[in-house]
Amino acid sequence: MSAKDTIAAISTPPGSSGIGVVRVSGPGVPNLIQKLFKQKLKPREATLKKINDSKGNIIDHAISIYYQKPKSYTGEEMLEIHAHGNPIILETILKNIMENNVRPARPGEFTEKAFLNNKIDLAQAEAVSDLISSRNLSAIKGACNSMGGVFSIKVRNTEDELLDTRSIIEAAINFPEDDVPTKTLSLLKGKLENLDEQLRSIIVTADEGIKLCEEATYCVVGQPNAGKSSLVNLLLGDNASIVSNTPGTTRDSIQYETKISGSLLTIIDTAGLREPKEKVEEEGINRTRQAISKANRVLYLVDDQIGFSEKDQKIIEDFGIKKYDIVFNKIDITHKKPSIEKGPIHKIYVSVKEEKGIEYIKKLLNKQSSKASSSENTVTARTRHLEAAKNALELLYNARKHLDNDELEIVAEELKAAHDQLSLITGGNNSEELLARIFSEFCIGK
Amino acid sequence: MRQYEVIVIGGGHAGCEAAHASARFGVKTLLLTMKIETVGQMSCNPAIGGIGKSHLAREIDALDGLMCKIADNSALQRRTLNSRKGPAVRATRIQTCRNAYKRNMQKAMQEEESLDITQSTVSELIVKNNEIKGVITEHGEKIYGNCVILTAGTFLGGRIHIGQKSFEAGRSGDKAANELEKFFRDYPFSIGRLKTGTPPRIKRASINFEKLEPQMSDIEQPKISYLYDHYGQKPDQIEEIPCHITYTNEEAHNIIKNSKNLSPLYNGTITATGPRYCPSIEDKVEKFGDKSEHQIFLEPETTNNFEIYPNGLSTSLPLETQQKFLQTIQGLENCVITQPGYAIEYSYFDPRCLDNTLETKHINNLFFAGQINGTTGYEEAAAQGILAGINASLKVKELEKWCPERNEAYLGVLVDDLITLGVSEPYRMFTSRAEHRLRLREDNADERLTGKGFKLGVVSKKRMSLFEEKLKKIENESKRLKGIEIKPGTTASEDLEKKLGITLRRPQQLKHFLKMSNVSYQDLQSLNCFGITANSDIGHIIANNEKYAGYLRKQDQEMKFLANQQKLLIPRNINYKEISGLTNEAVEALSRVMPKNIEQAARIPGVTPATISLLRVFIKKNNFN
Repeated sequence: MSAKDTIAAISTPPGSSGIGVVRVSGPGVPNLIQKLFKQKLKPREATLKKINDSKGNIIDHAISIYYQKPKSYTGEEMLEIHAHGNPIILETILKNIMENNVRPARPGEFTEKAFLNNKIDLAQAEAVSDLISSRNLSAIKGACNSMGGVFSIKVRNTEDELLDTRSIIEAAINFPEDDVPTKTLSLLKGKLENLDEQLRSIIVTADEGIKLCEEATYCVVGQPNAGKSSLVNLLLGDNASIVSNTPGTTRDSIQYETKISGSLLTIIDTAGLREPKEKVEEEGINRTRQAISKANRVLYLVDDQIGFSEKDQKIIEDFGIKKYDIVFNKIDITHKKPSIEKGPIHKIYVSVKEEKGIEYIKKLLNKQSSKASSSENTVTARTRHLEAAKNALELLYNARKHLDNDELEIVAEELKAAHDQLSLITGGNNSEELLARIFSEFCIGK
Repeated sequence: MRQYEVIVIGGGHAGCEAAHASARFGVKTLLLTMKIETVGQMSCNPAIGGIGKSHLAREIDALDGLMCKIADNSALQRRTLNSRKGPAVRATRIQTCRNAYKRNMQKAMQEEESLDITQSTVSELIVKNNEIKGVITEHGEKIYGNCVILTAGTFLGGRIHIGQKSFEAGRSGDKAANELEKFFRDYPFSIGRLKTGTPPRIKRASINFEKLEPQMSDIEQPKISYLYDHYGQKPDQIEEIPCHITYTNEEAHNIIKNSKNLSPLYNGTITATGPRYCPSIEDKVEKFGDKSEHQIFLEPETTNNFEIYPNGLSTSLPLETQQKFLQTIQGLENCVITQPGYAIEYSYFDPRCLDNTLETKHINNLFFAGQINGTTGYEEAAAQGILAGINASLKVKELEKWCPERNEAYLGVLVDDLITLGVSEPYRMFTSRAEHRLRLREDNADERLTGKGFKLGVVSKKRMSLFEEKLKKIENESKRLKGIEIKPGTTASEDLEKKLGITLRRPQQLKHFLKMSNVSYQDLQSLNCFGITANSDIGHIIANNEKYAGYLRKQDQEMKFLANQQKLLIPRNINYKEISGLTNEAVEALSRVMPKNIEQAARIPGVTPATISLLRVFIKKNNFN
């Protein structure tokens, strides 16, 4: 919150667009420019610059503009990078910037800075204050929701585990004459290892979440032989890239990124759904479940010769599929015309084999994908979460080192800092919770 | 007509420190107590210190307060807790002779020139235009004062419970102060009820100690006051008496369980909240039913050793039941109870009615300190007492008031927690409450506070020079250790490798090795190159500073961030309802606490980052700063 902080954010809405803008504001900007471009920029002059990723590979050419204070939006030193509007490029640029002592901006913080530096007037400020409050809440909610709740549950579980671990240590420190069995203390090593694993998993989820949530995600689901893979191949055309794949099995979900009519989106092809007969199949079904939970919407594919059966209805209910459209394939055999029946659940009649009716699906996907994009803040919030989880992991590493040296008060210090980092994601205050946990777990009171 | 500059009501731990601190300023002070013979009374366990508590006590001592000096001169047993853990969480505890403590406290009070003590019960305060003018005693005497400090402990509306019986009292054998409580009902103070308890006392001669495990003083005989610990003076030696350890058992638990309906804690008579960390034996048996025994410390009460304090057995069961379960415990088979255990319910003021100098927001020049603010413990009370005494004196002298920050002292943590969060149970200090635990240590409270206290006027010149001597010793020894360099391939480096297992790659100052987690000052002393010093008694302080240096630097950076937020002051006349976009919950929380700055506001429960953003914008918009 200090005026001395340098902050950065992607300022254009997520999703693909012609141009995407990354903004940086604060006293660290001149140094940052030197670091990024190895030279100074003339104030207020648009300059075409090569943009590198952290390994030094060129990822884009972008217009970069330096604003000298106080002649900028925020009244501080500012840098704007106008790159191509690919979310991956923009996130990479942002990550790169943040390695230089720059932190992610809080929602509305650029405007707040502008106000605090007297760049905007009173009437505008009223509007800003309303904006800030609404944005903060929605940003936090949005970020957690868009990751399907999986992320926030994970973080909360880890926080809980951390609270548990800290309560053992704090009880041992604060009540040495009371009843904190040495057995409980001996569990600490295992608990810290466990936390390490959990944090790593959070980081992976957050990383995936950032990628997934920037773009609309569809999951193609249906019984075996409905033609899912053929449909996916058709939709992808030539410009698809496989994001994840376990070769040699059709039991896994395969995730693709593609562009349809200019929008970037992710399509996940899943295993056919039927009663699992063996363990491997069960595994495949679990993956389908995960894929469904990641997706914004499901395309449910049926064989038009059979129609939408009771079994299909059961699958939809069992897998908790809420938002979906039904695609009836193989109209070449049932002799129907390609068409779309609109409703809360759209029904689309197609022939994958004869490539008929596919444009209806594409149109639908395109429309939905522009809906899936939300405000700038969700992206910022998520990047912040990733940052926090990484910091927590580093602090936990220190804690483990000190536990080996038997320095309990320093372990406590590191774990507290790690807990504070995680609380940035969920927004809790820990000191009272910690005491409550100690008194419920241990019989204290000499 | 009597006229004083500061009047202190109450002669407990808070009252004594408050009155003595005020008198040390040279301010004309009166202590009013209901009974002169109970001034300095330890109402509960006969010990000073312990983890978190000794940290507070050392800060009182660093401000030249009484508690630690008196404890050291009344000691029966001395121990360091957490001696095998790091220095930041080590703590001293002194078992004291209750009588010696009281006697020494009364002597110290009487020796203070600017301090008068009068036995009288205050029934009313004189207030004009929301400013305190003095007090009226039960006999109708009006005594005038510029500032009044109220330290009424559990006496406001006190009610004792033993089994089914209950009666009005401030402490066992003392009456409650009910008139005064009624007086406050006319003011907008929020008054709540809390509960605490104390165990029965046992006749020493009736206990069979033979089979019990004794607990002696530590060999080092740790001292709690800097005078005797770091400044080289010697306390009075009275007598060493050990504690003993015994345990409850299934039979005792069954008796307690079967009498649950007789306990006012469980039959609905007492509704006030008690402390979770000091549960009654009824609570322990109920909540931790899977435990077959609970540890009991049998602590000596006095040098004549007539009574024993069974720590861990706080109870409000009927006397007969207390007797019955006690006699199932090993060593207590034939025990005789000299005073029954009891629970006491009392009134406290929501401390959110105070500013950070413990002055009330509703009546100017009136201060509250101690248990009436919802705290528990001698050290917590005394710490508030000294702060209130200091600030009442500063106010009399028309000087700027003072309170340490959270990163300067446990005292700062205590007061800030009270006035920001309020209390929901009796508040006790724990080291986990301090964000800066590695900085706020027992070994450096004087470095944090004595210089400041001297400037304010509460620390004597003599004390200040003792402290400066210590600083000089630290500086000299530190310089000396820096001056000794070990080079690889020398006999000194061989010695280092042999004794401490350290292989040297490049030349290194001796002081540097203290940064390593497993190297202590004593380890350095074992080296041949160590040389001779007159300052080895403060060596461990240098080692502690080195050990935590990295963490303190990191915290310094965080503090800079907080300091920036603390600069954003919130005007006292702010109307939170005028800020559009604030939730009702936030308006209520902020209005109640009236935070001084943005940093304090951010820590109030119910205040979100969004609220803070709105607040910042509002303040800036209205050009308050």
